[in-house]
Amino acid sequence: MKQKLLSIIFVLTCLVGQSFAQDRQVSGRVTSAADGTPLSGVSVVVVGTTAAAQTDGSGNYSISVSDNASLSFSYVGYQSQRVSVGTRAVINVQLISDEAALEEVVVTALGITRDKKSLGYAAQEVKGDLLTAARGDNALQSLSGNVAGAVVSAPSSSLGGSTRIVLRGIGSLTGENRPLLVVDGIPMDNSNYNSANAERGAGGRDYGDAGFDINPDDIESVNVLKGGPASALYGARASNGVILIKTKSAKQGRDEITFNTGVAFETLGVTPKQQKLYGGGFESDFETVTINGQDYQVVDYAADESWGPRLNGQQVLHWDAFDPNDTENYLKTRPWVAPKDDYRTFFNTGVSYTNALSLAKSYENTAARLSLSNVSQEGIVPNTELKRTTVALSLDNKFSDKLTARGTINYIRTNGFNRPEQGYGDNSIGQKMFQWGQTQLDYTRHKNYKTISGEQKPWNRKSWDDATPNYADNYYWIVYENTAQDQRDRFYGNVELRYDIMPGLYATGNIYGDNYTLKINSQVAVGSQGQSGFTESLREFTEMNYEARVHYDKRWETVSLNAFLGTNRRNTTRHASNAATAGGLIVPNLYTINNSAQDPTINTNLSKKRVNSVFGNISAGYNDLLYVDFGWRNDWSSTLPENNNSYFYPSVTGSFVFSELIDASWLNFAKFRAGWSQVGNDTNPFQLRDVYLNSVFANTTYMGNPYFMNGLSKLNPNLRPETKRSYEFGLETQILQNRIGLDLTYYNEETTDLIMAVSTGPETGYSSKIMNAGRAVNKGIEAMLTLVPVRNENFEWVSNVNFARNRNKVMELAEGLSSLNLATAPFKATLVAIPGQPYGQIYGSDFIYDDAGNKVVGANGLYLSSDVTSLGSILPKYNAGWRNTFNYKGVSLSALIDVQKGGKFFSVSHMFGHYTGVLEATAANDIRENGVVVDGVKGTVTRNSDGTYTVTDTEKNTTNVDAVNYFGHYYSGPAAQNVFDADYVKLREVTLGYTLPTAFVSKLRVKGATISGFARNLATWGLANKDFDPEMATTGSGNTQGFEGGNLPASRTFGLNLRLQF
Amino acid sequence: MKNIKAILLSSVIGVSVFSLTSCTKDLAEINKNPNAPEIVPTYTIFNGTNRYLMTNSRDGWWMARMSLPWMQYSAQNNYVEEDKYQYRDNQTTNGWIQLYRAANNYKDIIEKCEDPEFRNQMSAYGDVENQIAMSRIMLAYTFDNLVSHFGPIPYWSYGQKDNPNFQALNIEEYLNPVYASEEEIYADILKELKEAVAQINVNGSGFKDGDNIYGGDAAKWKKFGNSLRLRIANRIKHVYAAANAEITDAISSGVFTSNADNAVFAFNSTNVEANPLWRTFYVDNRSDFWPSRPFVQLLKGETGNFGVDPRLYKIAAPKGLTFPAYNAGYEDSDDLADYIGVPFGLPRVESYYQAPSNINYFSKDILTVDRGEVLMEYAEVEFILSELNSWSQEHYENGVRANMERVGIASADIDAFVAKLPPASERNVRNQKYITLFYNPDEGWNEYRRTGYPDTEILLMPGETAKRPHDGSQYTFTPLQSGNVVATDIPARVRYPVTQQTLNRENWQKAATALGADEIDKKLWFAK
Repeated sequence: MKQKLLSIIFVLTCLVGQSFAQDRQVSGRVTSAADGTPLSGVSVVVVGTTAAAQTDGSGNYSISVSDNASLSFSYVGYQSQRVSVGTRAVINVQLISDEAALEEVVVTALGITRDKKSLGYAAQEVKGDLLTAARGDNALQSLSGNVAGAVVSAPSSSLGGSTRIVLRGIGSLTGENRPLLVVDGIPMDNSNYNSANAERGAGGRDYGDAGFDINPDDIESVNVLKGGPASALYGARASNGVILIKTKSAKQGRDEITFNTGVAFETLGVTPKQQKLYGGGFESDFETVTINGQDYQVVDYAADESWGPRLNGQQVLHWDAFDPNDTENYLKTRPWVAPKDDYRTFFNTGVSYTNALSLAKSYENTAARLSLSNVSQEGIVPNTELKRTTVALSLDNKFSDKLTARGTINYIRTNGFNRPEQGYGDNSIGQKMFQWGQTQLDYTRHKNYKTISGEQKPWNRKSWDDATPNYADNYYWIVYENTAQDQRDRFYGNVELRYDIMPGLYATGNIYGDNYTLKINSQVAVGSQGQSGFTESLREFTEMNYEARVHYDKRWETVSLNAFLGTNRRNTTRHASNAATAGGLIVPNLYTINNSAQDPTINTNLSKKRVNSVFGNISAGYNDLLYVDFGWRNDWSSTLPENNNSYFYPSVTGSFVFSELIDASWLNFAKFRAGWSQVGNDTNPFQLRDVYLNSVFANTTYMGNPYFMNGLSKLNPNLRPETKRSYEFGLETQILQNRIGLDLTYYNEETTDLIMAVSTGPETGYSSKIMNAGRAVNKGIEAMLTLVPVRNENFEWVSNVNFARNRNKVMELAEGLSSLNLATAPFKATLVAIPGQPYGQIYGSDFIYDDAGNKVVGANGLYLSSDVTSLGSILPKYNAGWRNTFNYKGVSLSALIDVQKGGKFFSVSHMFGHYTGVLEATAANDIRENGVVVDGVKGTVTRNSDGTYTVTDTEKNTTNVDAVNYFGHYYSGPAAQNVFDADYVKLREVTLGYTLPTAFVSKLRVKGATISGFARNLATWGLANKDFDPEMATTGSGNTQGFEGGNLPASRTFGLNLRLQF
Repeated sequence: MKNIKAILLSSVIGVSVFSLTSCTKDLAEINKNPNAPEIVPTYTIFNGTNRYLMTNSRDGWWMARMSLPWMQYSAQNNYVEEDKYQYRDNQTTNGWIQLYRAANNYKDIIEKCEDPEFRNQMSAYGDVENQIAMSRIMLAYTFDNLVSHFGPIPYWSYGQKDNPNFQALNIEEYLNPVYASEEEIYADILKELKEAVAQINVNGSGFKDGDNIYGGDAAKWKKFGNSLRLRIANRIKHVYAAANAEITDAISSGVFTSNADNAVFAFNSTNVEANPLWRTFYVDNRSDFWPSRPFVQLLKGETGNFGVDPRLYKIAAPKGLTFPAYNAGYEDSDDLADYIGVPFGLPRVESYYQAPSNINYFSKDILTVDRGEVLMEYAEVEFILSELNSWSQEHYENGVRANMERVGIASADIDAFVAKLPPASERNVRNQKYITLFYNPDEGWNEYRRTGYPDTEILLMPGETAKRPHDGSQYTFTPLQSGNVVATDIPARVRYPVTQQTLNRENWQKAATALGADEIDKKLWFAK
């Protein structure tokens, strides 16, 4: 029935076409608005008819028309224009190039360009120039602070690490919350393949996400479709909004060669402070050992903590004094002092080079652009490197008046070498440096990390006479011997054919493809603390979209109509294979699976998904005053049960340009807009029927027989599609000669029937169950304010403010469930969703307080812990960006301040850094000498059956606790001790550019030259915990956020860039 | 003409839309998981689940950071706080997941054997009634481990599927299962074991493959079911009146009579199939666990009244070995001064005891890649029989002899040791049983909580002082705050996983209230 209805609508749409009679001649000249040059080959069409003509070499045309006709002028690279003929015989037209027209025309869903004033929803555009000004290597990262409502989490020093973007809050509790990424119509996979442990800070490398592959220099503009009404036509995947990227293409009449070269330097930003009074070990004295008949004081290098003797210059044998081949150091004592070269010397200044070249040329019927770029970056961790090379070719050809074809093909190779491990892992520098370790270590000495026979010289040796690493490897051993590398080869592109059937009616066929192969190898050398080994994993991804559309556009005197109907088939295939050695390597330094001491382990996984869709849209406009849009889509997804796999969803939006009705000189533009949408969503493949697993252990048999077990997640054959309903209202206005612009949006988005793995107590037999459960609401405001305080011939000052505030609330979970576990931090604290509270509550034990609000301590003088409770949500209260740009003649200065307020994070480094005596506080205020009496009261604590406490007989605590016990309690006591506000104020970007005078550069046969200096993450203020940047509290772009643990310190970047146009 | 073309084109598109969207059959086919099967032979589940259970319950976390050190068989030289009862939340959270997951898989075997659709297929892998019975015995073993660690827990029983208090392992009906009382659980475990034993057809086959405990020998499974019933009934007999009848019945039905009956789970010699404690040392490279001084002193005869026990050499390596030297191989030392053990419960980590050559590794017999893990051994049955028969000398000697034979002591040494054994008494029998239960430390902990043995002459109790062997200096064993409790005795239980506080909060709260508080000092039912 549904199908029938659709085809009827479709046929009706196609029948609305009429012919007009022609009776008189009109002629004129078409020129470029920019420079007045005549344009040849411009297509001139009498609207609503098949009558058409083209301009000649001088831009002249002639065509016969009837009265009251309209002419449409269109030309590749320029904005089409309609002119009402009236009684005129001569009509001269100036066409505005696409680039110049971008202010008014925006790319909307499915790549359809629309007048911005006709939109009934919020869409914010960012120019490519803005994104590349500060030379961020990841275009998505550069959106931070530039787009109202985009919360961007991107650790600064992670060398191409993941970038998480969320628009309008968390709608899906456990599923995808990032917007869909579309480049020239191609839906781009933005997966990251970080392990769950990497995401939760339990150790792993951040291989970044696939969005990194987009070359920022190719971007012409980014349009952010923030909510449901804007993105509904894209279907389910766009329910978190869409980031639409339009790449540059050749412009008619303008041949252009651009070369860009830049260099950037990355240095440490926010770093933890370590104590400098005491060294490694557990005791206040050294052990005396007799070696070769002589007594020596020997440091306890088996310890990976810093509760050792006070640094008083005692002569002791250090870790590198036991290698007889190292005559310079063998049995040589050195003083026990704070290091001259502390951990900061371990880090390098990262250097990155960017080079990009683009060539664009257009011919009569053809335009082509080729771009090449290369980024080569060394990280702040030694021996780390990232390279990205991109090649992009776009072609646009007009085969006949009716048939146009366009195509793009992009190839990207990304090579990472030794991206640093972060979190609580064997090769995590952050964990070994800030959570554990010995503070007196001189890092320059670690460079001497190998014996002459190639064995490791670990500082953390089992004992003076046993050089086996105890817990930690030498820092340089980690970065030079236990490396990893990754390579991603990606092709993406599209082919579009357009056939103009008759004026106003045209059909397009598109094929969009995205394909990549990601290969990751990692190795652990023989002689490391962990077992030696080699792993190789391969990820292959292919997505093909086949799309066909029929459009009908018509404009009458006062009414305009744009309608289209389309269909799409999407096929997605993912394949993964992993191979790993077992039982160590046979031969050292040979890294191949075949060098496995025991049977290597292998597993593969294939997943496929198909979504079939039909969709359509009708837009109507009245007199530039009123616009209404109705869109709908129906999807059939392979991932849902047969009887539930079809779902229909509509959207309606409208805008009212009321400035058309107000005649006031101060008011340039004012519009009210409103939109409503409903979007259905499917799920991942294979969520319906339970299967048995033989991947519980690394091999598929046990004692010669196969084994299987049930999975830990219970699947569900009765799933239904998810639904997200959104509405929004907005106001846009420009006043005082466009000196002040304001764009305000209020939105409300509600997701219901969320498909998710609901965490269950394992006593149910499973740790989770896939079900339709849960409802979440996000509402908030987005505001953009543009001010132009000064604008004259020589000087312009533009100030942009973005502000967004989102309120999230988890309304309900499945019946009988009072909470949903999202993730667990290493050792302590979980991330949960609780009905009635915002998403992402950090749960852990709090202090116990008496009625007067005093913390309660136990008999031993240490804080007591409450039951597990909420310690705050990870979600920020608001985000804001403030950019000021000053242009004076050829000089441009721009600065962006990025603000986040609210949200919490749990710091594992804070917990262990105190536990181990590494951080500054553990030796401050003579605490090691005198101990501490913690601020609190003693009393009788009675636990009530509801989990609350009654505290009676309180008296002030007077028990002195020694430092080891006090700081050890950061780990064993209330988790609340390690939870902090994630507020920050950052000077995110500063750029200073100078465009050389044309008169000067033309002598050098250059059309234009711009030299600029830039800086990113220059300064940070307002941190609740000065040791750790809250932006580093994430490794990966998944939903697990808010756990800091062994991450690298934040970094700042400076650089120079030169751009030449020929 | 043009319009006709348009209509034609749109019809073509219309038709393709039809064909595209009508192929929902294809869609279902695409969503069929090509990576894993929907039905598998039951023996493969039994194989996997036993492996999973025994790998996870005898590893560096569940065993080596709780019952093994708390019963002072082992001591850590670095993370001393864990020995002093400040264990990591993760280890009980994971243990809870692992034990319930194992239980759910045993339940699945039973269901597949009973499902008319699959029963015939599964009968190819062994007598289906026997498969069910063996799964019930393993369920009893698994739930016993849970209830003896935590106290009241959510529970499921094959024989009482409709009992409203037994709501575990039934996710379709109960997302928040209630906790059943310990008394009700223990009573049902005994009932299950009795029924399972009765269900076994000793002439029929067990699992034809993948039974790495008994190789499918139904008669031995029957003995194991009875012996386990004996162990558990004996444990609760002073709080559960019906236990004595269960004991008598289990014995008459046939318990272990020799080491050939032992329930030992086999491990293999590759890394992935290795003994989990070996994996902790050699794969994870965590050499934190060492024979502890109280245990070494008992084996050396410095405490207790048994003299030098030849099992000392089967348990500890002589001191003086670096890790490379230990790995290269060593000779047992005839100088008892080479066996000292790491002092238990030191106030802080001490450099001297951090050096491997100053302390004793576990012997190569313990850190053997394919060493089997004991679920229950014949010696334990003999010690129970001794207890039940007024500290019978014969059963006591049988027990000592059996364990020594199992671990490979030369028969002359066994004869000499047994000949010198002090006479059977509660203390002597229980202390010998403590030594045997080194290979099964969870049961050693159960026995301490039930009986209070070994006593404080052997164990170092909270608040007591001990001497550091290398310099004779004294220290006091002071437990650390664990939860909100500073224990004054060996822990009486472990806290529920913290995840229960969010995932099953109401029922957790009831259980915590019933216990008094969810703390380690609340005594369990059988220990009252």
